[in-house]
Amino acid sequence: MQTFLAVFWPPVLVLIAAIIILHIWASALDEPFLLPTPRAIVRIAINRRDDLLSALWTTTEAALIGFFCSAAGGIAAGVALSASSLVRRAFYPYTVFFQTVPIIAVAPLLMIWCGPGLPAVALCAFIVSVFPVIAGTLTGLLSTDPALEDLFRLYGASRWAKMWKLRLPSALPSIFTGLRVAAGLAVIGTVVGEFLVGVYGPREGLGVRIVSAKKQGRTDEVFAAVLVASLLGLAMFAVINLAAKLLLGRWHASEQDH
Amino acid sequence: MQIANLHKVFDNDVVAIENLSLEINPGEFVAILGPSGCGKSTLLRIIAGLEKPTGGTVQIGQGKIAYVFQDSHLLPWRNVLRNAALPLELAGVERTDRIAAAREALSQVGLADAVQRYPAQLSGGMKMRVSMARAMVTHPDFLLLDEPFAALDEINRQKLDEQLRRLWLLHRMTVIFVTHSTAEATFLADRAIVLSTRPARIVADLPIDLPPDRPAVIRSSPAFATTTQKIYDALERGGA
Repeated sequence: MQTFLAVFWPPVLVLIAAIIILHIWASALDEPFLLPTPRAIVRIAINRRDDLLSALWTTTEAALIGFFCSAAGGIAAGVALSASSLVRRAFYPYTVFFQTVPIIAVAPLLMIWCGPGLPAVALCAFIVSVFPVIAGTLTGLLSTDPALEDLFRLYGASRWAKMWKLRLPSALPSIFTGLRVAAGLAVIGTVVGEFLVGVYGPREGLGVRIVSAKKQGRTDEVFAAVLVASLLGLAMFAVINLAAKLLLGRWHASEQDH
Repeated sequence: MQIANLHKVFDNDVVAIENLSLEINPGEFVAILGPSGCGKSTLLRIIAGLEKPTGGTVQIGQGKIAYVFQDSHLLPWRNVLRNAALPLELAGVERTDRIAAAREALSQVGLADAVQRYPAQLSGGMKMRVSMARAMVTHPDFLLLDEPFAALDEINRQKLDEQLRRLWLLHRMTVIFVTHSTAEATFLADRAIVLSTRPARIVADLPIDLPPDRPAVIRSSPAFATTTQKIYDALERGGA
């Protein structure tokens, strides 16, 4: 507990300060439609917890599917691109498409192609979040220590051994940097997808809740749903951090205690 | 080992090595000296087959080669034992055999107690010892070292020099040791080859007449000082 406090007091302090400022501001403004007080947001979140939790679950499902596709597809694409400079020159510029595409403009197309359902929403999450994984994997694979490449060559290592025993392990820190960014983006992509797809399946996601709360003028509920979506992104980020710590903790500088 | 009329021209038209011929006998301990950037590392990389010569030939016959770099270059995600076992793992040696061989190589460099540690937990000198154990684990016929201890402090460097000499007495492999330190060359080698500034050619090929078994105190003997001076003079003649 003591170490927990030692590590987390700075962000907790910032959070408390932000809540106090928001509270003073919202109370002084006294326009709940424009800016609800933190207390009103928490109250509505508790009152509508069943709706919010079911929306959270729906959104989590789509975000996780999108994220895992990004992780698998992004790492595979990074490995493929690292194979030769010709392949890289030919294809890498087009992967930037994922980074620059305005998802809000493409999402309607996805709806036309996939129908208004989970695949369209997960695809939104995938498109938004795959590029950082590709870039992270490729950067990591291409910055392998040249002396170690020489060493593996000297001992007649196969391509397979070079990839599994040298390049991928040394790319891991960089891959995790990409995955961290992708985790947050996957949640954003999912919420945007839900905005456009609307209700799908038996339940509605956080994006749908945000749209309908806004239509009803329930700003406090919009805030509550946004808060839950942010917490989902944060939780995914935290899980990836934990995985990075377990995998890299013993050897990589970025995971050692600062 | 026969090196004949070796040429190396880099892509940017810099001539690194020009018409260099050299013969090294099996089991010989040779130091190669030369000013910084003269092409001695390039020569070593060509001998190891890591680079192709522009002209000339290198014949080393049958035999395993090991190479020690300027820094330890260990795999940071592997512990000391698995780092030392890497060359055997890449050669497809059975797990129990390669672990046993790695333990033996590590104990020969005084690291028997550190096998479970990770590189991040080792000092610079210890990392370099692991690097040496990794090179020795295959029982190489040729051990090539490219200024391996240059980054270490004086005391660690001398200790590692002593360790390397002991390893050579034990295994009698052919050693080619690139350095720019005249004292290090004198302490370690039985023969010093001095190269000129670029393009590298041989300025002097000096025998080092010191006893095979060299205690640390040999560094303060008159014979040691004379030999060091001879190498130094040759380096100066080469334009260093």
